[in-house]
Amino acid sequence: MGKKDLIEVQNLTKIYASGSEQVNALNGLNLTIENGEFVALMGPSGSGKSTLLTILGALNPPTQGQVLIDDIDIYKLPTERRADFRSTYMGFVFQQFHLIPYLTAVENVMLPLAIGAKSSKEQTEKAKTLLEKVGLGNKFNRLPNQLSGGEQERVAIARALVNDPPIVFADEPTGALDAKTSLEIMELFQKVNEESYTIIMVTHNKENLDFVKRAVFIKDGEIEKEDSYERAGLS
Amino acid sequence: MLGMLIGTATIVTLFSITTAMESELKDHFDKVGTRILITEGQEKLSLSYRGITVAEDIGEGPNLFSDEKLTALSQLLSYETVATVSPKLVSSGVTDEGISVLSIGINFADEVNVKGYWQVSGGLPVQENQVLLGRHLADNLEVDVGDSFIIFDEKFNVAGILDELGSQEDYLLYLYLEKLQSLTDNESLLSMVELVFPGNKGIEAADSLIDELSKIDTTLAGTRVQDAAEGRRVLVEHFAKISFMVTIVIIVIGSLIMGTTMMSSVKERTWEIGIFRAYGFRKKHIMSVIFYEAGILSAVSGAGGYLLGMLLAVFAAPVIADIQTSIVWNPLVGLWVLVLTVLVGVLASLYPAVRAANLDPVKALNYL
Repeated sequence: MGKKDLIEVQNLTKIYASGSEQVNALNGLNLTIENGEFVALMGPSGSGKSTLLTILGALNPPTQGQVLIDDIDIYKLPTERRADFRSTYMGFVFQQFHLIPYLTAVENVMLPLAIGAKSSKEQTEKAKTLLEKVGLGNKFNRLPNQLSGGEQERVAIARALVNDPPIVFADEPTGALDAKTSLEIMELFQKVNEESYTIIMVTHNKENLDFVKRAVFIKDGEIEKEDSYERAGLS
Repeated sequence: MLGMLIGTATIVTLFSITTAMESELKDHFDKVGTRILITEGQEKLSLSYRGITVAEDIGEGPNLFSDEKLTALSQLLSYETVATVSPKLVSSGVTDEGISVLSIGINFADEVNVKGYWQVSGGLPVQENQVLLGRHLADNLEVDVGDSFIIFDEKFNVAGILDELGSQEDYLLYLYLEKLQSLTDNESLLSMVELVFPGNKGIEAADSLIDELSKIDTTLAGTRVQDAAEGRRVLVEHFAKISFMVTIVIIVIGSLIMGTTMMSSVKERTWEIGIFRAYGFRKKHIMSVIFYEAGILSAVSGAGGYLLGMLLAVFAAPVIADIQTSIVWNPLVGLWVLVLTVLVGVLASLYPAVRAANLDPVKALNYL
């Protein structure tokens, strides 16, 4: 894919009702993300970065504003069509990995394919290929509790990629990992990004900025500043 | 799942026992049929024959009726279903040794169809001077098969003796109807007629004939013979009704258990549902997952419950219901149990499934 705007956010506002009070999580935020970018959303707790991630992920309708992905206004889609859109366009990696505890690594990776048209054999092959890609070629049949934190994160990344989505969302992917494993995971994300996946990652960890192409700093529901980085890329 | 399994096992046990009891009764009625007694002026009689009063004082003035009245009987609509007609004359005779004997004149060819349970030592009478004796009567008269004795001032030969039945029949003497009519000067007269309606549906036909008989201009009256099987039939009907009610209660409780289990499962797996939604599962997919799980649980419970229930029925039925026939392992029943338990499980999971499908994905993901 060439460089073009993949995601365009216009005047995004999200207000949560908390009892009789209203909390403005996002205040008229505007943001554009190009195809193939690796963007870090940074900011203090409560700044609105996770809310932005869920809104970009078509999971959380905004109070106001538009989110265009590939020129499609995703919140104008009916709820179930939006689910289809997520299936096609998006992969998710969560901080707590969120692997299904009673499914093996390969079954967890196959999960997003369960509602697709691929045969069971095709699903298994695809999942195994991805597990090999993230370095778990010898742990297909391990249950999540038989894997280390870093390995579980790798399974979660493989699951996010299994539908070949153009966008991968990651919410604090290294938040539950030690420094060494975090580094390995970020290298993996960088590798994935270089394969033309667009990655949008919420993180607190400034060391992760060594791997991203752009950082968007959010404060009080607004963009405080943006930094772009030139990366040499992995050899 | 254990609750569903036990509930299913209970239903299967009750159903199997009820079915076996009904089958046993059907076999009995198929074999013996339903019997009614036709008598004249029943309220004036006092002889108890098979539970029915047939004569007030046979020695002095029995209530007899002409066999021509059978013609009126034969014109009733329900008469077509009658399998056997056995006319009888009841009288008492005195032996040459002064022993009073209650005697019944019958047509042996018809009577054996009525009394399928008779076991005879010797044989049935084939000549008019031969008699068939009840076991106790034979003992009282001190006669055996082939012996002779005098009654009604005539010599009779003992053709056969009934094996002990434990009923009034042990004290009766049976001889040819026409012979007894002749000996007692009651030509063409009868004390009663016993009618047999074949099969399990004979009860309805018998009741119908009694009803028809009561509406025509005749002094005859019909009464259904209330034998032990009749009492058991009533018992089985009650048992079947109670079983049905218990089944309904179990299904309701089972549904509630299943619904509660699935609600609990949905709550425990809220974040899983969030994952599913994040990865593009539609609401119908989420509901399918819940239904699939409920279906699997129910099917396992149904299969286990069927096996356990059948085993319980096999071992418990002879004790609980005094059933002699064996419990039948019917695969069709097993299939029905499986289908019904799955249906109940899936229906009971409807509300939890809808709840799961409508979970907010963001809240569900943050549930942990």
